[in-house]
Amino acid sequence: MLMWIDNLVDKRTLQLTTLSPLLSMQTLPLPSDEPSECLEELCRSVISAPEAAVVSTADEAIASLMCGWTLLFLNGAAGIAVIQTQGLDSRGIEEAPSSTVVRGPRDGFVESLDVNVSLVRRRIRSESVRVDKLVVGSVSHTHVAVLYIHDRAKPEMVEEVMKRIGKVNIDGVLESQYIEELIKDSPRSFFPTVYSTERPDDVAGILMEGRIAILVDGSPFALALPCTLAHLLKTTEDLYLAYPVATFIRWLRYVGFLMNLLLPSVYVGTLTFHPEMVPPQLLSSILTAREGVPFPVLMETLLMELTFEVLREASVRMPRSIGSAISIVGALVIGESAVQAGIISSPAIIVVAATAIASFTIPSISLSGTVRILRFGMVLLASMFGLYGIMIGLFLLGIHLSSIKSLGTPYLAPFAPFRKKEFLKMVFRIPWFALNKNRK
Amino acid sequence: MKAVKAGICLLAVTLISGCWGQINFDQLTIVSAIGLDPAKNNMIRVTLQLSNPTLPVAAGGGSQQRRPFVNYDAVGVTIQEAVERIQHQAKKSLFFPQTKVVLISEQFARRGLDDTLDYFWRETNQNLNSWVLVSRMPARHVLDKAMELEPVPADEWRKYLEGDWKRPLQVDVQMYQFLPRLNQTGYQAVSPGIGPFNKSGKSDIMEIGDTAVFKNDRMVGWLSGEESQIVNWLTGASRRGSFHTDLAQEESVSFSLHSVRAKLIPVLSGGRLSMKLLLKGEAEVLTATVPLHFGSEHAMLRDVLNRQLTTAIEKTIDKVFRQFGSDVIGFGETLHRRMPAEWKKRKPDWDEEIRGLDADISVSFEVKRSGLLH
Amino acid sequence: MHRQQISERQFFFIIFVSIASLTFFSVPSQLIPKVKQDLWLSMALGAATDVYVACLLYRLGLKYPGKSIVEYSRSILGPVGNLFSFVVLLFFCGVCVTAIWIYSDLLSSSLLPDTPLIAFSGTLTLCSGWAASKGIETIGRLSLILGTIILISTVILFSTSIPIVELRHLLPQFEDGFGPALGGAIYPASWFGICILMGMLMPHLAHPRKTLKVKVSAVLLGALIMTGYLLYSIAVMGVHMASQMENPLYVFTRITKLIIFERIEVLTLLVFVSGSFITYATLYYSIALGCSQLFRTKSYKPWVYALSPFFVVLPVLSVTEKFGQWPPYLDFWFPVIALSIEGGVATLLYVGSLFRGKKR
Repeated sequence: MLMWIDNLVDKRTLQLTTLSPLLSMQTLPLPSDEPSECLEELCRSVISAPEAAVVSTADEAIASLMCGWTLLFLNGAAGIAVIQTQGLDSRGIEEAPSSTVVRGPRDGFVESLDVNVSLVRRRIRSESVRVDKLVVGSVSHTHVAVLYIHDRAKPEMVEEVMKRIGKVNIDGVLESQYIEELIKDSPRSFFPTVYSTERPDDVAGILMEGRIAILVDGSPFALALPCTLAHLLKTTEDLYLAYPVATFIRWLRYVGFLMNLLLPSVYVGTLTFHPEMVPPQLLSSILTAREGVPFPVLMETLLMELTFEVLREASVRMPRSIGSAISIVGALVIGESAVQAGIISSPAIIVVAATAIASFTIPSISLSGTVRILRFGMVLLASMFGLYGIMIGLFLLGIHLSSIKSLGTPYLAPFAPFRKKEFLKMVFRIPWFALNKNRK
Repeated sequence: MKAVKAGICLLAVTLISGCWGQINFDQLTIVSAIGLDPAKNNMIRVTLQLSNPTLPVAAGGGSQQRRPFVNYDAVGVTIQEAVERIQHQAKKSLFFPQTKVVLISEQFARRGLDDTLDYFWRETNQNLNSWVLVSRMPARHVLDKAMELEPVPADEWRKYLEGDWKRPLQVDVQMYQFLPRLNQTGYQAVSPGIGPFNKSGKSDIMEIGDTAVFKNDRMVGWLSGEESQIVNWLTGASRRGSFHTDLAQEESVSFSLHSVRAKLIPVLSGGRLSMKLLLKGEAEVLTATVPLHFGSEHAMLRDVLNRQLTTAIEKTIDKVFRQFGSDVIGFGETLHRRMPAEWKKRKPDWDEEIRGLDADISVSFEVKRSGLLH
Repeated sequence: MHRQQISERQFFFIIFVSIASLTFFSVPSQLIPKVKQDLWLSMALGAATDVYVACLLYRLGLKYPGKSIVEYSRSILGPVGNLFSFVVLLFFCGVCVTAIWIYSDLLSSSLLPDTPLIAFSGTLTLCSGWAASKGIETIGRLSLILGTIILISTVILFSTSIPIVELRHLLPQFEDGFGPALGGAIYPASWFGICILMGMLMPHLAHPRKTLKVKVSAVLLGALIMTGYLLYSIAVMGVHMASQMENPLYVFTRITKLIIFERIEVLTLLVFVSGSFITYATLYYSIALGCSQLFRTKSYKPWVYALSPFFVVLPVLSVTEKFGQWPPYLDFWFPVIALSIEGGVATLLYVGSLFRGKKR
């Protein structure tokens, strides 16, 4: 008797590998009289599926059945033969929408684990790439693959990752975020200590560095550990551009990170506590621009920041066609009209807009989200103590960042603790020819 | 957890209550100039020039109809008291940290400053980088009547004093340099003067020029532009200058001077102190009312320049030391640096000492170039 | 218990930042009026005293590897040693309270004039206490970043203010002989001496043998930079004005301009505020750790929480009222007590250890 679940198997494979060999055997005698041996013999020599085995318990068989395998029962046999006929439909490989590049490979991960592993393996054709598969989720039985290069990744790190994934106790895993939250260090921290990416070339690079990647079935986002702040501010595209340009862009990104975090709070803090620091002409311009504006500086800034966040949230989930309408409404209504009506001053708009643009320079979505939240905290601190408040905020942030770790690597790693080689690699995009020289 | 809740409550309370130390930014009005005049009964009349913020011309602020600045004045025993009175008139919150100039009227300066100006040291909000000017007429009138290209006159004055292009005939002094010199015997204060150029009509063009000389905290007299230039050289404040020599009757040659270096050397001979002054530099002929041949008359030009410069310096030093009895060139400090022990002996009677001081001046300028003509 | 480790570089920056920020806030108003142009000699002498103490502590630290000053003073002197370490810890507390007071006083008179003192001591204690509870590794890492910022901003400040410097203000040297400079040396020496913290930190170092070199170079760099600040402020304002200001360094940064920014003193102040956060965090950590070693408690963290109310309240209440208005405290008693404890304890311990070594 054959048993399969109709929607999970690839009918063609079933037909080719199982049904036709079995049917063509009808006329021939059974390979063995003993039913169990017969079943094994069938698996070995008749059924042409890439994987076929005999399992002994019903539980194992059901687990395979749920994965899209076909079960073959033989009257009187002790075991059940399971045949790989899995055929899950998957979307084609497309460009990763969350991180597009100007130059570089354009393939992105898809929802199928096998395809994803193949995308990575295609890039590193080495036998030392290891793929360890685990099953997670007491209901969903999601497959998780841990990828690493075994002579580059530290064994204790791999072991730690395996241990953490093994400890995961959850009903279902629908996205790699589930795993990320459960395995990350200092789970209460706002900062992502696990890197996530949609790009196979990124993952390949991560493996080459000796880091560990985790692929989760059903999610196009791969996770990578360890992950420090500097990793989050780096993109793979840095490596595809000419080194001076890439270095410049990387510095821009660091500046963007700081601007995103601090600009509104510095604006509020300076104006409400230390207006003497503003150069005279600028102060005069700001004062004129703020004339007649009903809101105090703090409220105005918070209001505009909130409006911007709402706009962003609204436009993210909109279909493309409506998205442009939102941007028109945002730009026109809030940008133009609010200033012309004298409700909001233009310096506030400039500050918020500059912050928003700066926030787009951060490549990591999760980091940019964190910074967005912290920005509000900074504004509040600045409204209490001015620049001193920002200093307090930065110090607390600094303590937090230097106390957390990602898989044993300090979060601020190449900067503090200072590691010269990695530091240089982070601050400058060192050209390949220079790196090769070093290796010699 | 309770601690966290308590912390949040505290945070909320402080946030709502409006916090300490916040400045009401929208009420802020920049004080661009402070004027100090004497008033009756030893009181002070303080004039504050409040500037109305204006949009830059590039942003369409050129055609604004508002007054660019308003002057308020009040009388008080101290500056602080008067400022508080002005606060009642102006109603806005007065913003001092970006004050551009402080005008001290001549009358007030001659009355003595020391007991009033400590306000500028003490008050955290005062601008130590503001420029000090002594006005020939009451400071209030200068502020009221001044008319400049910029809407707020004080802005223009500051830019002028700050800029490099101003002529070396001008001393300039910022608050932080001016204040300590008011009671420094060996290096007395000077300040540029400001006064109306032509007294016609409602608004005047103000001229910044000449130098007010202080003796301790009291102003004692004026130095002309040329004399100021010499003081500038001697204190090392300026290295450039220009000088006009009279070659003959109604014939003159103008020089521009570069890399002027002055050296003051105290000389002690038999218990008597005298001053040796060495002045070196380079000169360039700018204009001459007579035809000149640089090659052949080179030596003559040099000698005339040096001779006439020596005379001018002698006159200036004579005026400063003998007439004013004020050590504005910092000879006392030079002595202090060179011979600390001697300075200690002479410091108490330094005012008397410099009146009788002999100066041995030697000037050696080289005439290097003659412009485009040879 | 796993012992937290810091690298030499981190130790270097902890010491450097501590010296720079403590000196920034406390020494100028004492040193400039008394010693004037010769203050570099006082600073040098102060640094030399500190190097002497460092040598002793280094020897002791090598003799008792892995032990802090509290632990080895017990093994050298027995119960008397406990008293010693108690005095040292009490002294640390005193330094903390005094320094927090000076710090909040300056900030509330210059940075945020209307903010009550307790807001400063509170935020300072919160920040440094939190850092202390995270341990010395965190503090070390952060000090790397902040130390670099202090260095960079100092270089920028020094180079932008070259045009307003008048070197002749620095003359005459030794106007009144060497006396004032020698006498004035107690001020920097007493504040530099805080570095007997080294005795607490040495067991955490990855390579204890390099401690002395690192520590001496950190002290020298710190002293050099602060001497630079002090001399700059004299050269810009002149002795006469500099000696009248409550904090001449603050006024110096106020006079300096950075391109179009005329008032950068707030930024400089903030840089040093962040430095003091690190300093107090280190002090705080050492006190808490010392207490836990002295009273043999398992963890130092409870001490961090237990001590915090004192650091918030004491500088504001008693110290302001009694000590702040009482000039001999800062001018005389504090340096004398500090020096005798810093120098005295180290010397006594060293002699004691030699003695013990012979007996064996």
